[in-house]
Amino acid sequence: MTPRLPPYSLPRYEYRKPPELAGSVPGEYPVAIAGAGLAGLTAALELGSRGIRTVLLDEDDTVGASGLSSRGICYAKRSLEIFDRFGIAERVRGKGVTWNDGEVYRGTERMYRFNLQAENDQKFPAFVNLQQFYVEEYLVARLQQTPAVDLRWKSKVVDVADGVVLKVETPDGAYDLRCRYLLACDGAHSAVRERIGMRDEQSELLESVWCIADVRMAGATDVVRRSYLDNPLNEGGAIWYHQMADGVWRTDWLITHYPDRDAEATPERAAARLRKLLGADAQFELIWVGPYRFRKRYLERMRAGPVFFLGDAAAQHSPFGARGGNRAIQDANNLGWKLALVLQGKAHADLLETYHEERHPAARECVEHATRSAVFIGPESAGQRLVRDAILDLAQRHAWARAWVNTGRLSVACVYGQSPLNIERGRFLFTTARPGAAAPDGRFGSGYLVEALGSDFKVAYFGERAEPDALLIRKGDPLWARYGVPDEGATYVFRPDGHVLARCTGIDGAFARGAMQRVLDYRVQA
Amino acid sequence: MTQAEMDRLFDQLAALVDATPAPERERMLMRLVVGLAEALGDYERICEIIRKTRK
Repeated sequence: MTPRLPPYSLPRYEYRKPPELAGSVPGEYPVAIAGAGLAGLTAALELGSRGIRTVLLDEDDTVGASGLSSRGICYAKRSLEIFDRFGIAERVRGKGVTWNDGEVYRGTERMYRFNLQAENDQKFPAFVNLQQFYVEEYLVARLQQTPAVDLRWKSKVVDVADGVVLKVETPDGAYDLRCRYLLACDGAHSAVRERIGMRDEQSELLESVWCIADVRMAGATDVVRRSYLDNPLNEGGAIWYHQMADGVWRTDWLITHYPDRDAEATPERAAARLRKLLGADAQFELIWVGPYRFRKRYLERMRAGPVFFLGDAAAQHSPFGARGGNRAIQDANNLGWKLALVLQGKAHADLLETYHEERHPAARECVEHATRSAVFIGPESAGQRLVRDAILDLAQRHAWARAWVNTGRLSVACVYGQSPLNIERGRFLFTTARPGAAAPDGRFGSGYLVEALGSDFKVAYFGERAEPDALLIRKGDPLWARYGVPDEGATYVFRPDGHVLARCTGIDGAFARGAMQRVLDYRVQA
Repeated sequence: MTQAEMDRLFDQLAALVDATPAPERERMLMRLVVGLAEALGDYERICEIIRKTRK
């Protein structure tokens, strides 16, 4: 069989001559965003939905990257909660494949199965798998209904002066665009990052080489994610295997151990390996095939004056744990409300520094987790292999050892535990909902708590009475226990991004108002 | 112990092995085992772990 590529066609968006080249002088934009990937599109929605005039620039005129590669495919519960505020989460869920279960194999022997979502009263599942270009298409569709955002295709940022004057190349020539703040969402090869000369805190190319093969299979309906370690069908290399939309499966093959890695990343070799995995008679169609290696890298600082770095422009790591796209979405979620408050004159500009203070540890955490998973899956040294194999020996026979098996610590919301915005008073039963954590979800009224939180500050009282506009959760409600509330009740304050800002025991409106005011008045300590 | 701590221990154990010349690794690992047994300080539990570790 000669592999046939590709059956997809991506949407093309219309390029329009920018006003700067059409004779008008639009002046300074409050925010410009370079790059319309997951980070840029989400950031534009965070800002545009709050009425902040934003220009979003992308060098291409379509969604996706690297052609038709599925790229980021796993959208975590937290990302779905963020998307829900823009009305696209159900579209993602409807098109994608929901999964909570995974299986881990050693060779061809199944070691164990896991379920990621122990509680079933959440609005969203642990993960929905969907090709990244679909998600981006939905975000673009939503942006097209957001008047505050000017989305410009075929507009490449090629230079930055003083962080706020961009040189933008278009089919009609280049022009200068002035902005008050710039969000660099222009990916792993960020031109903004290069032009500004940002320094990495860490940067290293890992040895492992992988081949992605996206494949459509007839009749395959299983939604369990399978991770094969040391699979003989891949000459002892790992294989990853999970379903996306349209009956397409993403398969990842470790090919470091093959003598000719370039040859292994061709459609012909990918098809041959798939036939070994699926059986000689299996009917399948290759959608996309390509090699990849990954770099572990993150910036020393995620902000340079008026310029903020998000997504791959700020950090890169292996895909294990599905942290890349989800981290990018959370970067945008973190910065959007702060920037809006500052531009609206409601908060001091120092609040923006907390973007670095909160998201830099998140980037480092993602890099460390993802790198450790990559090492476990494809050990690069004798020591790593020895320890990894010992763990697998034990995990095959003892359930307790499974916690040591690291086939990807899957993306969950980062806890901003060290954030200077956090306030806590009194003793709570659990730390799950501590300040800095993303609000744990649960049933609330006829819907869910994450819906009730909205996009602004929100106060919730765990007790018998609430002030107007606050949420009331009574004793006996499952949320009472989930939030670790003691008998005397509690006051929780949520940030506009859905993270817990502050909590105290007892009902205390003054505490809640003080916590919110402290955010607006926030000053960096000298 | 959290999974993050397990993962960090993985790094440290692998680095310990890699830093030890191959002929000395077995003795190094046994020194580690004895050290951990001493820290655990529970004869019955150590015997139970020995039984679980056997192939």
